[in-house]
Amino acid sequence: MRTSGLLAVTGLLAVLLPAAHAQFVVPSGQDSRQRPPAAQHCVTCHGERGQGNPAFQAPRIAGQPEYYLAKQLGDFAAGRRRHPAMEAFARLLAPEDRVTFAAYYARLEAPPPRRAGLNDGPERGRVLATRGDDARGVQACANCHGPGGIGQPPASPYLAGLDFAYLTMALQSWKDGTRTNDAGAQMATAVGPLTGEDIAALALYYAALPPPRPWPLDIVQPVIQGTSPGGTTTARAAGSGPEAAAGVGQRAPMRGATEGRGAGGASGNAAAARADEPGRRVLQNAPVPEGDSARGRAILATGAHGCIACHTIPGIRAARGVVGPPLAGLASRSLIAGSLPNNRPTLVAFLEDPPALVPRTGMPDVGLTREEAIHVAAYLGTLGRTGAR
Amino acid sequence: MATARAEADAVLIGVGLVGTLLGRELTKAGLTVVGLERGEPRDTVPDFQGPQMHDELRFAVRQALMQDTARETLTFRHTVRDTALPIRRWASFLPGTGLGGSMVHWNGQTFRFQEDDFRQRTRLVERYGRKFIPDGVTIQDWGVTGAELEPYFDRFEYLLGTSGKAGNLRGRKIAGGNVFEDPRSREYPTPPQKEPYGSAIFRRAAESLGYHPYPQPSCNLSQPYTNPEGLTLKTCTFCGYCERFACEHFAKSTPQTVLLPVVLKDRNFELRTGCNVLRINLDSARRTATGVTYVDAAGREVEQRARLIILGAYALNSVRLLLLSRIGTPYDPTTGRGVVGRNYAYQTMSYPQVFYDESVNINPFMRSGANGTVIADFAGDNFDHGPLGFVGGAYIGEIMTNGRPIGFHPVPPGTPSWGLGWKRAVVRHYNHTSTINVHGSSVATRGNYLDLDPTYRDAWGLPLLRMTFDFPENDLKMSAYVTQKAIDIGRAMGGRLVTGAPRTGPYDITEYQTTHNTGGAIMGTDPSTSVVNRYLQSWDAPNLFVIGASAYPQNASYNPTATLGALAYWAADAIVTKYLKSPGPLMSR
Repeated sequence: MRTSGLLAVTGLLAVLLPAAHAQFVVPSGQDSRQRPPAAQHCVTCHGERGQGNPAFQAPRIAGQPEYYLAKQLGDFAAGRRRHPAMEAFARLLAPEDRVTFAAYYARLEAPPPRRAGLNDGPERGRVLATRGDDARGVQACANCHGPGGIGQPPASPYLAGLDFAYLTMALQSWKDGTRTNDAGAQMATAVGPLTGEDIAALALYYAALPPPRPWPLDIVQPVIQGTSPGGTTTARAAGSGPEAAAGVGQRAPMRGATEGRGAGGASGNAAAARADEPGRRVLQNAPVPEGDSARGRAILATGAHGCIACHTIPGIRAARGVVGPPLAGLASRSLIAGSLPNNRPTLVAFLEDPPALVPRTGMPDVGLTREEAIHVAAYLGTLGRTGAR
Repeated sequence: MATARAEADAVLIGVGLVGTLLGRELTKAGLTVVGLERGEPRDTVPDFQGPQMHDELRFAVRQALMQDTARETLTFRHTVRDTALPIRRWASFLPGTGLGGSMVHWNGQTFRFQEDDFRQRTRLVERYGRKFIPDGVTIQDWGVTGAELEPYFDRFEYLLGTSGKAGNLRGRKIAGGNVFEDPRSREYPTPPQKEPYGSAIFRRAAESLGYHPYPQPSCNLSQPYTNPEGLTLKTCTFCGYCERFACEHFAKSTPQTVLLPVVLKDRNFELRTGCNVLRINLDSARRTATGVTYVDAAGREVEQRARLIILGAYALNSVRLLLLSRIGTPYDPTTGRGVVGRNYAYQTMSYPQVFYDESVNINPFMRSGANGTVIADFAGDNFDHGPLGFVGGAYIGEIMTNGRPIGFHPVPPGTPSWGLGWKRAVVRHYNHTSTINVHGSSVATRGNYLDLDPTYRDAWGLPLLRMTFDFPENDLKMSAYVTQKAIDIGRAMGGRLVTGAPRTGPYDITEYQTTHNTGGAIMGTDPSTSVVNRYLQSWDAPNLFVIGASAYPQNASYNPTATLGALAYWAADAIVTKYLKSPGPLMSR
């Protein structure tokens, strides 16, 4: 299986390599919710939704942390992670395109693999994953890869629901030293003392767990306004030179800063690429101007965007929809769509493009402009606890 | 009636850092050793694993790894004129309990004290004259020199795998290391941890002012390391859960990660946990210790006889056990006579903060307990005290250990202390504030000491230890001077606002400062001013060694752990090469 998979990949490579580099150029700042054109080549092995393909030992990549994916692409390109096909593909991508790809796949939600939920691995796998092995000096995988193997962004990928063959191969490559592209040799020291049976048990354990949904990291990590392409600032001058090693793509927000630890120069590009994406812009803690609640009410009442078809909205006679939740008392709720913190900038962002923030929401992008969303949010903000107004 | 257990060659009271080191050295010398630990057995796997270990409420706020004050605590007062009351909840300092001791929850800051610290009184008199030391300050020499301890420092650091950069290799000064340190025989076992952004700003600022910044020596390791005992440590992940927590990653040097597994495998070693030692027993002539009496986990009183006794509990508890066992003369502050409880010292901390605008991201969460950049220009006697009128000093560093969500809420002065205004300020400043640590020395004085409380007793009916302490005027002067230097560096760090004040009295037992309690069973060469001799051997019972920070005659600017480890190896060496060959006093009275 492994040999034939490799052969298939190599064969594919032979077909694709003559394709001109130009084919892979993705315009920077492309909306990360649309599949980048060149991603058709990822699809061949990693699947239409990034769900992976065991036949090629191509892992599931949908919903992996953006930083992790970008780093892997960068490492493939630089030869720090070895794989004949992936090295070739990654080298064909401009650095900013790798970031675009990573952003795209990080938000993609793929159906869980068939094996998910069937935990038929040996107990040894669960013990190693959640407790470790004292005698071998091995810590629990969960320390970094999260409970249930859901990952710990930005640097630690999820393991839950990855394919058994891929997990086995990956663990083995850390153990035998053919893969070394982590920080601080963490994986080599963690996997080194494991036996082949241990590795198989772990791979079975994680392969049977359900993979996590994409992380709404943009929401939980506040992003600072003003990431400018190229982004040098006075702060950078103060100390993020090469010697500030653990540190910190300045200007980039918390997440960007974390990227800076491993990805070096790539983080600046990441920040730059993100700045222009519409789905991102609104998530940055850019001050959102106060809207006009009367105009917001008018936008809802006209029915132009169809809000009233699904929602019952106090103060708007025609809004009697029962598809979505009633919006009475919205201003006093803790969460938007059951998952986002309810504050004005987030609400505006959600209204602009709900699935971008909550991939499984039933609420479609109804085409509100940012300005309209601000006004609508202002009106919704008047809907306090009683719902009466 | 106590059950008697078969005599052992040696018994260890406490199996923390000292117990583990001595357990290894003594079993290697062929002795049968019983280790008595009052707390629970625990190990990296399974006890310290994630995600439970990152429960800030349980470990940092509710102090899960600390001594249980419902069973045993100490009482506190500022002066002999006050009435001491029991500490019901640890705050100013956090004595640990359990296998591995307080070193399980330490930060990993691994400094060597300097020759100026070990020979403090002599050096001060040499440099500034006899009258320079303030009245009432009872600092004295340790009876051992830094040069004598160097091989033991070296051995200890190579056991731990300390990550750092040398500043003085065999007399050759090396820029970028601590150029003030005593000569060291070789480089640190592993290179320094990565420098965080706030520390990089600090380094530039300190350099611009002519100081000598260097990476703080850290026992959160920068790379995998296999120590001479064959145990492998792993790389720190900068998770920010060090102090008050145990490390789930095998990345922090603790007894569990550097030595304990080797000791526990030795057939000559027996560990007994849940065993609370009540007293050390002496023979009828009260010249030799015969063993210890303890209460085991089932509540039974047990007598463990032993030919050699190593008292290596937490510094405060070792002093208490000496007092409870009536070994040595208790110190009397009115006459200045007596030794047990004398020269209790602490450290003198202050914390200037630099508030930046929102373009500077400090990322305080991305830290380890000991990474960061410090200067030693104002530590110890590294600067001229002549015109200043105080002794001692402090190191200064941007060494934020964490940015944990419950504990870390930097806000500038004038912020409301609760409510919406406070929350907004926390959000605004959380990621844009750098904390500077001013880590200062503590002189011993005539009035600061430890004794037994006349009123309050522990769960076994024994008197609690009573601490009488307030900041000496000397140390407040020192803090005023060095804190100002730190604020000047803070200004050079380019923040929008720099806040900070020196430590002022009275000592506040309800605010966390540092768990560096020292003294009370101090070492020296004169039995009238010390409890143990230069080999940490009791002057009163030569088969008793009291090893720990209780032996420090006063406290230096640096964190005390590496010096403690060096002293433990020093004492172990004396026991194995001298005492065991000819049991008896290693120094004549």
